[in-house]
Amino acid sequence: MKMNHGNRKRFVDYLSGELDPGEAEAVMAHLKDCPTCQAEEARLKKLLDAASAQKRDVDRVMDTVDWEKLALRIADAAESRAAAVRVRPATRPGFFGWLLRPALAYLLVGLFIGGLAMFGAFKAGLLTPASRDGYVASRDFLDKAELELARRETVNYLERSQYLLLDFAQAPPDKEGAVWQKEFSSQRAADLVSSKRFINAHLDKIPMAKAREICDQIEALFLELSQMSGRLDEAQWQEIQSRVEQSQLLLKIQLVKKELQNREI
Amino acid sequence: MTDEKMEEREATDAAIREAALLIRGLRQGDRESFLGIIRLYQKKVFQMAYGFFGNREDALDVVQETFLRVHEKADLFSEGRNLQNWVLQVAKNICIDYYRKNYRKRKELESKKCLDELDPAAEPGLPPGEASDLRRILGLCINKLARRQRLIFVMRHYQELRNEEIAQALNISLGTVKSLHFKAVQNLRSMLAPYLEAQP
Repeated sequence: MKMNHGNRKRFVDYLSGELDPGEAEAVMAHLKDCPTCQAEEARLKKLLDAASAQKRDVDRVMDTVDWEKLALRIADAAESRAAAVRVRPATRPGFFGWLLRPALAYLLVGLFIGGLAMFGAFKAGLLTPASRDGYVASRDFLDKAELELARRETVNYLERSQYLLLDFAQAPPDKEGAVWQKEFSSQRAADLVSSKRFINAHLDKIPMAKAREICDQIEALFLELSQMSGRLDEAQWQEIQSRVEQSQLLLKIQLVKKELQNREI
Repeated sequence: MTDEKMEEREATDAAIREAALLIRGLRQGDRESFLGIIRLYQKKVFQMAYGFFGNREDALDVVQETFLRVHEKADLFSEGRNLQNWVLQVAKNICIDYYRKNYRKRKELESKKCLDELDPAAEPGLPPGEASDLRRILGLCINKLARRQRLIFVMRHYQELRNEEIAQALNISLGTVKSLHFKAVQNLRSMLAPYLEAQP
């Protein structure tokens, strides 16, 4: 049998007499020709011999023990331990034990009945909150949100009107530019008139009569302007300009807008 | 089947019959049966414990505690089993418990010291001058082995049990016993390398 000298596990088994005769022969044959393994075998033999020698030391220590006396002592200890277990009285509940027993029984019964009741209530759906779809908010919150929306829409309307009226006030003197401006302004005026219809519902909610009044004035002016779209001559144009100037509409718009902006919620 | 194996089988059967008688007597509270069990196995348990702890007094404590537990748990022994293996298994568990309770701290302190710093002559259990240096150092090195390696080395060389008996006693496979024994020898060999080279 071929033998790899790296396999030291076999040396241990060989030295301990654990190998089959065939395997033991193979190890012996390898050892004859391999000085490295011979040295290793010698080391392991020395180690196992030392272990055997230690065993003899243990035997020597064992000779110092009186085994019969030890056996009797152990038997006595075991018997007294067993007797102590037999003699130990069964634990009886003390004063508080007796007192607490009915209380504990009532508590357990109560817990059982309570548990059953809860189970029944859950089954019947009494404790399950009604499911609601969508977002839920308080009435107060909704009122505030609506007011804020109205305020913002109005401020936006006023701002856009202000820009349009400023365009009127600063209309260019040259003819071509004025025509384009007129056309463009008329369209924007028509847009603002339709926006006004949209914010009318909101204006009722704002507690501010001035805002409502100024928005109505602007609407009237823009309505006129959009109706005259494309047919506005120079005289009409100047008349509207002077009307805007006289009524100080731009200034009023600015003041109302500021007031609304300050009321931000 | 060879004669040798037949004899071995007969001896095992006789041991099992005897164990059954002793255990039955112990269960009925017969003091002599219990003493019989102690007399049969106390030396084996001592060898295991002494090899494990290297200390006579601790080994005697383990012997006492092992048989007290055997007395207490006699009802758990199933007849037909090898009584020696059962007692050794109880002893192994006691050794491990005892080690956990009393030796862990000591072992931690010792492991901080280098092997060369330890004075073998100062070790308890061996009378100075009687054993060679290698034997004494071997005793220290066995204590440095991992718990299972140490247990198997001790059972194999101090109790002179066969691999099969160790496997049955520890309830592990034969392959595991061989592998742990080999690892124990390898570790001891590397720990003792300077001594094995130097010794004639």
